Amino acid sequence: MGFEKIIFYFFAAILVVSALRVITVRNTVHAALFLVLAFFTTAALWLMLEAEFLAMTLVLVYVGAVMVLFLFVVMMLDIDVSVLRAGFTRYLPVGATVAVVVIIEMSYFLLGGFDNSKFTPVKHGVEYSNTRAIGNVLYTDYLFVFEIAAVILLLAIVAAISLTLRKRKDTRYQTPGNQVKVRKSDRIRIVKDMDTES
Amino acid sequence: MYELAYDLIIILLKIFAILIPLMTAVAYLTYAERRLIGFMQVRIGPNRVGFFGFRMFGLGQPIADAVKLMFKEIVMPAEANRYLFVIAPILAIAPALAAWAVVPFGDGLVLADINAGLLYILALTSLGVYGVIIAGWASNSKYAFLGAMRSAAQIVSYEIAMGFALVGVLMAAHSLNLREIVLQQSGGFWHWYWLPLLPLFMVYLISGVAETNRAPFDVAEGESEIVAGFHVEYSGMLFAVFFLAEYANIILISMLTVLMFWGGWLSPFEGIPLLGAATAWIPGIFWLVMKTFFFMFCFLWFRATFPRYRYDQIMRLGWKVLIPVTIVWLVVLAVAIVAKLPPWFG
Amino acid sequence: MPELRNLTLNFGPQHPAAHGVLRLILEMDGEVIQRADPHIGLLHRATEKLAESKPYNQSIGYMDRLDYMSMMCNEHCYVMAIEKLLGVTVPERAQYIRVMYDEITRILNHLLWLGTHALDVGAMTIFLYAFRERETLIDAYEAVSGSRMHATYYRPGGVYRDLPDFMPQYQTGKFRTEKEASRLNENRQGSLLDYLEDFTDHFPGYVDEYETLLTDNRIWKQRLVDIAIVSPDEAKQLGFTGPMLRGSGIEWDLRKKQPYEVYERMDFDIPIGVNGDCYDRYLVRMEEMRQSNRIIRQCIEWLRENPGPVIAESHKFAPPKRADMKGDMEALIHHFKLFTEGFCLPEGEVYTGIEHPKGEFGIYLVSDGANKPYRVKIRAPGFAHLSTMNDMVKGHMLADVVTVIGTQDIVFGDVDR
Repeated sequence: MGFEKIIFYFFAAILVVSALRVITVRNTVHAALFLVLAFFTTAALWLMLEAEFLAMTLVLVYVGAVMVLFLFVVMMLDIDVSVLRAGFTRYLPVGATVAVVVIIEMSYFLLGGFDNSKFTPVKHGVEYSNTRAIGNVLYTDYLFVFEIAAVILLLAIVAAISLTLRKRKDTRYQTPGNQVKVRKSDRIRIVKDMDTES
Repeated sequence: MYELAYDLIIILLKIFAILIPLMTAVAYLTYAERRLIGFMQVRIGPNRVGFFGFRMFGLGQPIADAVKLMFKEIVMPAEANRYLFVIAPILAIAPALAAWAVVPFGDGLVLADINAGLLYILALTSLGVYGVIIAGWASNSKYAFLGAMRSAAQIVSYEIAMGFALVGVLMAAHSLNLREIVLQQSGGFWHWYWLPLLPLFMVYLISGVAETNRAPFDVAEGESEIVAGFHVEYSGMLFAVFFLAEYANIILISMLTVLMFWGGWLSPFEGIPLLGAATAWIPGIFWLVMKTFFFMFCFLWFRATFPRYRYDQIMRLGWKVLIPVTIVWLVVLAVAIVAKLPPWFG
Repeated sequence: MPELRNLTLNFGPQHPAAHGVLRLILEMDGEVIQRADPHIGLLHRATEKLAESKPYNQSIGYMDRLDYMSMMCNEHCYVMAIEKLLGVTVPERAQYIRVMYDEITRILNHLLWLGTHALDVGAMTIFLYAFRERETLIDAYEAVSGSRMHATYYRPGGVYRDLPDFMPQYQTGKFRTEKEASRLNENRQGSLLDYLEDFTDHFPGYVDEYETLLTDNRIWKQRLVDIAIVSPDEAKQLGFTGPMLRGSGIEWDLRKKQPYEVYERMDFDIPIGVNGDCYDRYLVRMEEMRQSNRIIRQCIEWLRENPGPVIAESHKFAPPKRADMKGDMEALIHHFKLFTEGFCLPEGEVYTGIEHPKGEFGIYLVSDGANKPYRVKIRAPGFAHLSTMNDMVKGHMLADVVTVIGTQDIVFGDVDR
């Protein structure tokens, strides 16, 4: 067993355990953190496949941004587990059916002969940059699809913001542009004399 | 098998060769901060602790602080999440140290000369926020929690501006490899990327200050608002690790700014007839360190000068000013590259 | 869906921006303040009650400890109340000294306010600059009274003693070389008046220096402009006085409206704000420091040329000279009576208010003819200002609470009394 395999099984074990913990652990914040760990080990596995661009992007996008927002939300919620469990028996048949279907589908593909030879990774030299390769494919063959996806995402961002944006009526807003324009001479006047009053 | 062990030992030695000077630099950056800000504020700063009975301008202060922090009790708040509470500082410092793997200190002086170096840096700097968030949540304190929330929102926002600034660099250099990026800038002071990428350089520096939670963007700590923010409950060595992470990040951001916009280890006198030849003997690492010092000094200078932004104003600055600036400049840059604008893209 | 709750934050009393022992219960929706409930009383020392249990002249020191950032102004109000009921006239020179020290106190107070306000907003360098100038003025306090803070310098009928002709000098020693000492002593060669004149020469430059760091700073403006706007009407209704009232655009200053001591002979201007936000109040206080500097200069000029007594001649309430006591039986008896029994005030009641650095500081004194007051009521400006906390911060963010505490210039000595 080579050094590479040891590392592979090491990361694979972490990945499987952390993925299991995501669904078994009680604390939602812990679950989110296990998901982070799962992403991270996946990135490590991808690195071993020489897919450094995808690995880095996984860390950057999922770990660095998406999961941060996830945690952000999860931390603020005080989830009462007993409420979530209330309808367990009622939803069980539906859930079980879905689970069985998924298991059958997956075992069909996995047990029906996962042809290893077809997926053997091609070895490249050190100079080969798969960032460049992905860029080439993305901006030539799939340019249209890529741009469509970008526009849909942009639309989703705008929609999400416009749905959640609300002006609270009792919040006092300031306009930074006006704040910065303020001049000292406009905001203070000097009074020389006042009438005395007794 | 022996070959493998040999390689591993060499790599470990290289790691130590980077980490030991780095941790020394971190320790003395805290000292430099206190002395420099002291001079800016008409006071003296630490000048008593020295070595072997000599005062030596207080140079022993960081060591004394480290020893003190090591022996202090680590107070665990009631109802705190014990594991996460301890893990958080480690999560804060790990990316700050791991990022140094791809930083070149000279032509070829680099631990891992990987192609996606820039991406690796960006990915790792985005991980530092986990330390802050987990610390804030695990402390079971409202102040710490507010700090964590602020930090999460802030870092996600500034990550984008920072990423766009780096996109500009890789467009100009046609490479994600930091060594290549530096080499592309060779040809003297005016060939460095600070000039064609000036807005991106400014955005990167500002986002860098924000990423490291330094003044005027230190809302996650916000001394006067949320006391110390995410690390309010930390003491002893756990606090020290947060502290080290912050300063290691300052050094990292300063050095990255130099590598990407200020020609890395290249001499500023390159190409100048007499001066260039006269200073050619100076090793590149000297220039790299000097330039990095300048940006580290800027971090301290900002802290002594600026008031703190309010949380929502930081977000506004990030989304409504920095990101549009970078996007516009990326278009300008693309035009310049296509037009092969000399001397940078000719 | 979990129910949404507001976050309740206990702000203080152990908080770096609580200016002492302010405890605020903040109810927040995210970072936006829904309700701010100040809890006070953590520094309550029953000053009013203590004053009722002691002869009049023994309570002056308590007044220093009210607003411990503007000590002599508190004393001033108290001794003025006694003088008013006694019907004493204070020697002119004492009046000038009092005006001068009131203005020194105003600068002291405003410097501390500036330093802490800037520190709360995040600019920490100003704090140390402000303390550099405070040091000079506190030395002036020490030169006349022997105490750096709690002076007890004003006495019924005048001031404790005349201004000294020389300043204490820095000595050389283990930590100070000859050269350093002579540099520190450079402005201490002449009398106290020379020392203060040297300060007034430099001080406007220092104020400019602070302003270059803050006034046109974008971040400073973003943190202060349009924060906690108080309209003129609201300001009146909320009981604002002093710079808070003037910041809202109301022309009111007791030094001009109801001149006491020699203020009507002084030439000075009153800065008035326009919008009533934190930035205007900041500008008003900065300008007040410049005007105070002008008043001090005028006082120095007059005091140089007009020597004279600094305390009323009558030994019924002003202690006799130490030298007289050695040979004069009557003086000894006066001294003994004054420092054991004190003096009695005629039956009646009196209110005096002065333009304290923070606002109108008032003493309401009821005398039943005894040597102790029947009742002393202290009107502390900070109390009225702090009570408006909820109105000022509601709808603003957490960081603005800190700005508002700074702009109100809260000191707990006089809020809690």
